Amino acid sequence: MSPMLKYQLNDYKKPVLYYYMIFIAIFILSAGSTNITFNGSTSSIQFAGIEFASMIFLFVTGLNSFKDNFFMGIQNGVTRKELFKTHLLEMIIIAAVMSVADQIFLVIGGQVANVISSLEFSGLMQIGYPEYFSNQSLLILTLTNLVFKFVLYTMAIAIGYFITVAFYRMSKKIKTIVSVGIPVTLFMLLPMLDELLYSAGIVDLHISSRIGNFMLAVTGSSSGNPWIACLFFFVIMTLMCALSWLLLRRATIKNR
Amino acid sequence: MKIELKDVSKKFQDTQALNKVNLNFEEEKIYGLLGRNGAGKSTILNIIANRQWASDGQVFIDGQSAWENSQAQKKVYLMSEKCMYPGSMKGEKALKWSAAFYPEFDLDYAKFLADAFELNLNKKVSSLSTGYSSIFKLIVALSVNTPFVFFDEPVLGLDANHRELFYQKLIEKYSEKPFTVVISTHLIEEISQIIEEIIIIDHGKIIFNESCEELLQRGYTVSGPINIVDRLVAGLNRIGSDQLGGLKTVTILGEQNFSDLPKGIEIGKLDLQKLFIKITSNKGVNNDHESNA
Amino acid sequence: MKLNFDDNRPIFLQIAEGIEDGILTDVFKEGEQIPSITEISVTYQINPATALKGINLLVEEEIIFKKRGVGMFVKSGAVSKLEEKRRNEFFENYVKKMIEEAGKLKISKQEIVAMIGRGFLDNEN
Repeated sequence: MSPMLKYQLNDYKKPVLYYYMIFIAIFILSAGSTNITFNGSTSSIQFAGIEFASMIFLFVTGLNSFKDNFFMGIQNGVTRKELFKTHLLEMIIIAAVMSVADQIFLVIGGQVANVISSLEFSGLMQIGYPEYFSNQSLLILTLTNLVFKFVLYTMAIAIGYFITVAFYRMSKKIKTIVSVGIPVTLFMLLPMLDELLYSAGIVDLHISSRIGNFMLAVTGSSSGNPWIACLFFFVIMTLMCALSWLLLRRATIKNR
Repeated sequence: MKIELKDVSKKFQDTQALNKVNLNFEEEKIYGLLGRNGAGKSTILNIIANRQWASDGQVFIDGQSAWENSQAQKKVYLMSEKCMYPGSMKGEKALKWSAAFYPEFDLDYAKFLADAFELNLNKKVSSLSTGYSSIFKLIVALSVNTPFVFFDEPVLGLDANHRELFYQKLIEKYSEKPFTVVISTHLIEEISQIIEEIIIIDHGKIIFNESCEELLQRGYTVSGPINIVDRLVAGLNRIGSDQLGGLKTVTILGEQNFSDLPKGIEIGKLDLQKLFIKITSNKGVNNDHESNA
Repeated sequence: MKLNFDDNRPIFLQIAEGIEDGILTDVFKEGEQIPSITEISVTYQINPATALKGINLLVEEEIIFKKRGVGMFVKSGAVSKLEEKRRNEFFENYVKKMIEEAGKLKISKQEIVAMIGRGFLDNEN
């Protein structure tokens, strides 16, 4: 194993460990607290889509895994090419480990939820693709579940990483334009334009609905097929990685 | 084994930081890379160490292209003003990781140096004062054992005792196991006896690149009454002059061959610091600016 | 050993001279070891190549010798050799120059001799 990979994995070890410790603590606490009654009514606790939590966690770690590693690598004679390769390897390793871990949690959580009736425990697949979930054999289901998580997680890391590399490469001016421009365009200009075009009769369907439909289609929700989502996540992940490399290739250490 | 820079240029937006720089860093020599702030010293080092890329030209380390070449990069270490370690990393950890990246890194020596400089390795590197941050980076650079080690402003924030200790340890290390040392600084006086080769850079161009001893022997000062001095140095390569009342001192670069010195004229030794100030100040060189005044 | 970097002469000559002075004043006795290149360069904070150049000068003049892997030693007979060398230098640098200067000032031979006598007297007091 290259020293850089060892270094980066070592860097990831603590946050991942903390993440699962907190996760387990919350789970045990809630499993215990379900027996307590408030005002005569038993509380019901839902753990729905634990993958979503992991995805956010990995997106944030993706955001945090560029600058420090880039500086440390360059100081120690590691090339950008090696840094990128290490990033890919690390992404694959972390996503794989967490996919398996989350899958194990899903199984254990499901068993515990079976015993404690007021506890609900379900994965993203179960919620997003109920039909597929109830129709497949356990083996196929587990496999789909693992692949689904894996591509989802790699995508989350890849997006986070891309955003930081992109911000690192931007000049102060562009940084400001982007940080203001994107939310304004997305949440003000676009809805306004959408409404304008629709009320003027130029488009027969809201752009937002079209986007919504597109999202439903590419995540396989409309067809009930999680493999379509896997493909979509994979494409996004590949795109993000490719763009990250183009930006990293010429990244420099600014003097001050 | 050497480092070669061939026609290296660097442009930042609208400023030309380096202009066709040609340089060699030979094996086992101590170089002083001198220049004023913003002259391009750091840019040269940053390009060699892959922190920045050259807009034009090429850098070779031991015959291999330096850019994005891990094999070549393993032969150089750059200690820079900028702290490259993560904010939460402690000194001890940073040393440990340096040892993981550089197989020749001498961890015991690094700890010995930390002791000598009274550096607390349990502190986060990023929380160290300017002086101790420099010290930490110096310790890594002195322990890394790569064939080329670059020091960019190594004594920034160090007190006189620590500066002396650094120069001593550097010489000790170098004389026990020679390596190529490049010290980039504007504190010339302190390193003038240590460096073998001197490179002076001004506005992105190399204006001097020769042995320190030769340069010192080539330069001298002539001082005395204005009219006699002026007559004596007419036609010589003047690089600067000072005037105090009727007394004038002119700094000359070139062979010293006065057959007989007129009364009241004194020949003095060239001071590296003074030479540096003279040749890098923006005043015209060799212009008869005094006649225009 | 004292070094004066403001001196106009190259550092390596000053290093050689410093060691010669040490030998002449019995700081380094014949047959004894002198400081290593590392010690010299660290002490005076000079480039080891410069120190080596100074030392090599003394090796060429057969005042010191190197023992591989052990160090550098003062050769026997070094003191008398140095004394002779310094005497010659004394004549060249001081006596000749003095006579030259005296010529400019029109000081006669007798006057010089008298001055030297006076100098000795001053020194004794």
